[in-house]
Parts: sequence; C-alpha cells; structure tokens
Amino acid sequence: MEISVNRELYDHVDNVKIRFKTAPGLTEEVVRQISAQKNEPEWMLKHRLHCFEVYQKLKVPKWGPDLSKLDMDKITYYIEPDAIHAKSWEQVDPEVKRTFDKLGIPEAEQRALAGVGAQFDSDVVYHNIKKELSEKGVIFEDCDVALKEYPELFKKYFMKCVPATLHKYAALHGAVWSGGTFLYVPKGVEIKQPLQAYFRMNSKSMGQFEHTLIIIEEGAKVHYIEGCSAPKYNTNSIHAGCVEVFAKKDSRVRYSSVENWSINTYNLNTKRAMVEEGAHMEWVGGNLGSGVTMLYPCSMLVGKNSSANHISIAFAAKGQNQDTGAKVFHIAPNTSSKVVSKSISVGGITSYRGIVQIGKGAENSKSSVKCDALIRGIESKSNSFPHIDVNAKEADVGHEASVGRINEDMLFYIMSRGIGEEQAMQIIVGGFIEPVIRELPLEYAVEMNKLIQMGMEGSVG
Amino acid sequence: MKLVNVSEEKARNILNNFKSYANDAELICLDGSSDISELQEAGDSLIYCRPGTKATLVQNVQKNKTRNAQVYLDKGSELSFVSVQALGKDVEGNSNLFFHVGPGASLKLFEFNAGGAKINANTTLELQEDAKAESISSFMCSEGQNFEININAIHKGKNSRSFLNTRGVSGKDANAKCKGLIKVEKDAAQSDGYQDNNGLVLDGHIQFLPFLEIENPDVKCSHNAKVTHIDESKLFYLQSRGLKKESAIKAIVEGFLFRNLPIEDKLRQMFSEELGG
Repeated sequence: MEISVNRELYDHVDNVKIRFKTAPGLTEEVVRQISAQKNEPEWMLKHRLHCFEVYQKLKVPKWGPDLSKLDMDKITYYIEPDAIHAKSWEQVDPEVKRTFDKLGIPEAEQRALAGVGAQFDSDVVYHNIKKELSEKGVIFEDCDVALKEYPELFKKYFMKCVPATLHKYAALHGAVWSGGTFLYVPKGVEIKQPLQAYFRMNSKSMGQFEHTLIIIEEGAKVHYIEGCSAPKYNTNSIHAGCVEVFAKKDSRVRYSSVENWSINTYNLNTKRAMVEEGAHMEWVGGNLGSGVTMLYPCSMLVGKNSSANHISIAFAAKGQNQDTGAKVFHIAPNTSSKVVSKSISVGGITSYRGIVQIGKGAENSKSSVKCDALIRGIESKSNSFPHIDVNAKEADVGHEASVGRINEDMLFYIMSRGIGEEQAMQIIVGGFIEPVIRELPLEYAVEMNKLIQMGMEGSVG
Repeated sequence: MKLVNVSEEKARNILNNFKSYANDAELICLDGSSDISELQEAGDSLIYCRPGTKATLVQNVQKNKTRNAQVYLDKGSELSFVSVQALGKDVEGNSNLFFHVGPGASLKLFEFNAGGAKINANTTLELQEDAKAESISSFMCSEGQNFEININAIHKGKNSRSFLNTRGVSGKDANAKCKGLIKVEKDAAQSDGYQDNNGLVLDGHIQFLPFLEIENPDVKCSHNAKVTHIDESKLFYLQSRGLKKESAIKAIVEGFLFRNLPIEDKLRQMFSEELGG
C-alpha cells in the first residue's frame, strides 16, 4: 500500500518585496528593533523584553514531538512585506491553479490566494462589512493598528489570558509578535455573519507570530473564522501564533480555524479562552498541514454555568506529526464541556493530548471527551494521551477513545453495492469526519472534504 | 536465593531474561494444574509457568512494604494472579509486577489496593503472539491516602489481546493517580487492546491517564474513562429500605468495586473483608 501525498502541490512561495527585515536569530537587539520599527509605546517594549527574558529561561518541552531539528538561530523573526505583489495570474504555477480548481475555489479568490491581487473586490467587501460593524461599535482591526488606536483596551487584555510564563513558545511569541487580529464586540451586539480574518489579511501578508485578541462583552455573540484551507507558504520554519479570547458574561463565541501550513513548518500555536459566567465558548479546528503541530486550544471555565465545546480534526500524511488536543479547566461550579477530536493518519503520526480538570470548587460539573482515530498505512502511528483529573464532589467526567483501521465489513458492504474501493473509502472517511465538517461554514467544509480526499488519494491498493 | 520446586533447566535460564533481581528471591516453578497456592509474603518472587500449566496464585501483602514479582508464562500456560494489598495505614508501599505472557498464554490479574499511606504500584504486561492478558485493578483510597497505580500492556507479538480494567474509589483527602498504557508495537498486527477506567469520587481526588500508542495500522484499540459521584437517588432508595446512610454508601461502593468481577466467592469475601476495614 503506497501512500503519496505531494504536499509541494499545495506549497508555494509568493515573491513579495520586503521593506524591512531583522537579521536571523533572536537577541535583545532584534526585539528592540521590532518594537522600534513598529513605533510602539514604552510598555510594549518592556513587555517584549520581559517575554524575551522568560523565553531564555524556559526549556524546550521534553514531551511530545521532537523539536530538536528546529534551529531557532536561523529564523528571521520580523519581516515587513510590501503590499504590492509583483506576480501576475499567468505566472502562477499551473499545478497550484489545478489545486485550486480541485478545491473549487472561485477564480477571484484563487487570485488572491496565489498572491496576485484582485484585492480590489475583497477590499470593497471588507469596507462594507467594516462600516456596518463600526456602526454597532465593533472594532475589527489589525493588532498593530489597535495597539495605536485603542491603547487602553489593548493594554488591559493583551497577554492576560496567555501569560508569557505558560510555555517557551508563548514567551517567544510575546517577544516577537506582530500583526494579527483585534476584535472587540460591545455589550449585547450580535454579529450574524461569520467574521473572516481573510478579508483583512489579503491586503497585508500574514506573519508567523500573529496575535489574535478577541474581547466579547456581556451578552454579545460572534463567530470568528481564521486561516484558510488553501496552503500558506511560510519562508520561516516556525509559526508561533497566539489567540486570546475573553468571553464575558452570557456571551457566545465561536472560533473556527483551518490551518494548513507548508510541510517545513513547526506549528507551535497557543489558543486560550477565559469563559465567564454563563458564557459559551466553541473551538472548531482543522489541522492539515505543517511538519510538526503542537496545538491544544484551552478553555478556562472561570464563571459559573459556563461551558465549552472543542471540535477538531487532524490529518497526518507521510512526514507529518500532528500533536493536537484540548484542555479544559473547570474552575467554577455547574460548568460543562464537550470535546470531540478526530484524527486520520495515513503515513504520519497523529496524537491526541488533552486534559480535563475539575478543580476543587467546580461542583456539579460535567465533561465528556470523545476521540476517534483512523489509521492506515504501515508507517502510520496513532497515539492518545488523555488526562482526567477530578477533585470535586458531584462531578461527572466521561472519556472515550478508539483507534483502528477502516472497518473491512463497512468497506465490503459499500463495495457490494457496486462502488469502487477508493470511493467506498472516501465515503467512510467522509462519514468519519462529518461531525467536525458539519460545524464549519459551507465553503470551508467543502474545501476540507476535498483536501482530505486528495490526501487519501492513492492510499488504496 | 531459595529455589522451590524447580526441576527444569529452563527455569534457571529465564533468570537471564529478567532484570537484576534480589538475591533472596523465591523461585517458583509451576507445573500441571494446581489449586490456589499462596505466595510467601517476605521477599521477592520469581515465577515460571511451564507450558500447559493452569494455576492460581495469591499474594497477600500485609506487612512487607516492597513486593516484587516477575512472572514468566511459557507457551499456552494459564495463570490467575491475585494480589491483595492491605498494609497498615502509615506504611509507604511499593510494588513492581512484571509479567511475560508467552505465545498463546493467558493471564488473569486481579489487584486490590486498600492499605498504606503512600502506595506506588507498577505492573507491566508483555504480550507475545496470540497471548491474552486481562487485568482488573481495584483500589479503595481514603483518609489522606496517596496511591499511584501504573499499568502498562506492551503488545509485542501479533494477534495479542489485552484488557485493562481499573476501578477505584477516592474518599476524603485521598489522592489516586492511575496511569495506563497500551502500546502496540510495529510487529503486533491484528492485536486488540481495551482500557476501561472507572472512578468514584466521594470527597477526594482521582486522576486517570489512559494512554494508547499504536505503531501498527492493523489493530483495534480503545479506551474509556469515567469519573462519577454517588447518585443521590441510589442513596435515597437504599435508605428508604432502612439502611443507614453509612451502610448505604458502603453497599454502593462495594457494588461499584466488585460488580461483574469474575472471581470466586472465596476471593470476593477476602476483598470484602479488606473493604470492611
């Protein structure tokens, strides 16, 4: 059984003119340069330097995937890209175009994804949305802009949910972060259509240390979507982003992301939400690309009656190590959480690593965790490392996990209806990932489905 | 080293397969089909089951702080191993059990931890081709006790089966941490592994870490972990039948720990007595 997933098909470089970049390697000088280049206030420089100090003290985690090949001295920590892209649509590699066609992405979007502009359209759309939002008092901005325009709000929340001391790569992020999204939704405002970072990010290429800060005030509702299923080429080998969500009383937040970094990337992302009284937080995530992923979205249920949902899918082809999971800390009473994690390993390594902790004061809390893994191909590995920690009276926690091959009986049954083996397998895999796909907006769902199908191609025989 | 009932050269050779071992270890060689035999409490045990053996061994730990046993099940042998730990409330206990389950051999392991202030129990099962191992580990952790229970099942040969069942109760100020690992190695195709963890929290702390590591695509493995509390309606029902609250709790705990336990009445009684204390 040969499995060949040609990831180069997805991975492509944009020839972007660069205005300014720091020398490779991380020193205090580099941190100061980044801050100076961005013209930041004094407190931010201090914060960066503090994070840098913490970064130097913390050690590389000993558990999980091997990070020894990640050479931190060869990485360029800050690149300011030029907004005008030099390429034309005709110059785009036909292979890349074919990938987009297979994914069914409309041409206007294809052009933007390939980095050849056509941003005029999306800029118009973006401005329309922006006008509508700002009338309601919503702030939807680039983090660098937000730091300048809303300094007090920014300072109040920035890295208060993910402290630099959390782990080495959170500290690294704090020292060199740039770009990202700032979203503030005032009290009681409900945003009906999903907010996509995509609109904003087209005009300025996304960095690999982007910071996403989401503050949702009392009773507000929002669905925020980040990333896209078309691959992003990353010249640097590390992506250490950070997402902070503050879900205030009775708010509802859904954060969806599809991450598909190129195969040379170490994706060491940190995502965390503070969920207050009666609020509901949902994480929907898909991890398809990157060589190594370590990503465990975390919900801190600090207010009573709060709840969290984690839904994720990971796909590992040859040479990929997807170490993903979910962390839920029940701190207040009557809190509930649900985790659904699916993984498919065809030649790569997938691991579920998660913790559900019911703390001393979290009486009457409930949690259920379900992880399923499909494994195919002789080189594949599939692991599961859950941690269930209950320290409260009247708590109910359930955890289920299974790892297995594609059920031969199911395959046989479908094939007996006259369907070929490859298609039968796609049907089974489609059914397997359906609970996750269902939660994504339509265009993402279609793309995810197709990407996984493409990954599975050639795995029969 | 004391040799008990050893008649085969192979029994000596297996010593080389084992890791370093205490000099005063007791070496027991089991043969044919034997009734329940009790292991002597003092010292370590080295047990060899010859091909075709069917035996039951009981280890009752009441005084000895460290208990180590290494068991080698040869082709097609069957062994039930029962270990009951009821150390004094102020003792720090340590146990290491190692089972080599040979081709086609079958192991049933029952472990019960109740005593001791701080207990560290490690069990490793190594499964060869067509081997079967079932482990049922129960614990009753109460009043400031601290248990750490680790069980590893390593599938080395193909078509091997493992079933790890851990269930326990954590009472006031008690702390129990149970780590289970099913590892299916590259050559262990068509193996099945299942882990089932059940915890009942009265007023204590329970941690379950049921791990799976699968290196072969042709397997079926799953785990299930559940931590619950005493259902008020059950308690109410028993009390309405005239049971005092304490006896009602005891009945529920006993039912939780020993329900569906495929063991003989004699052993069940033994467990029950321990629980009574």
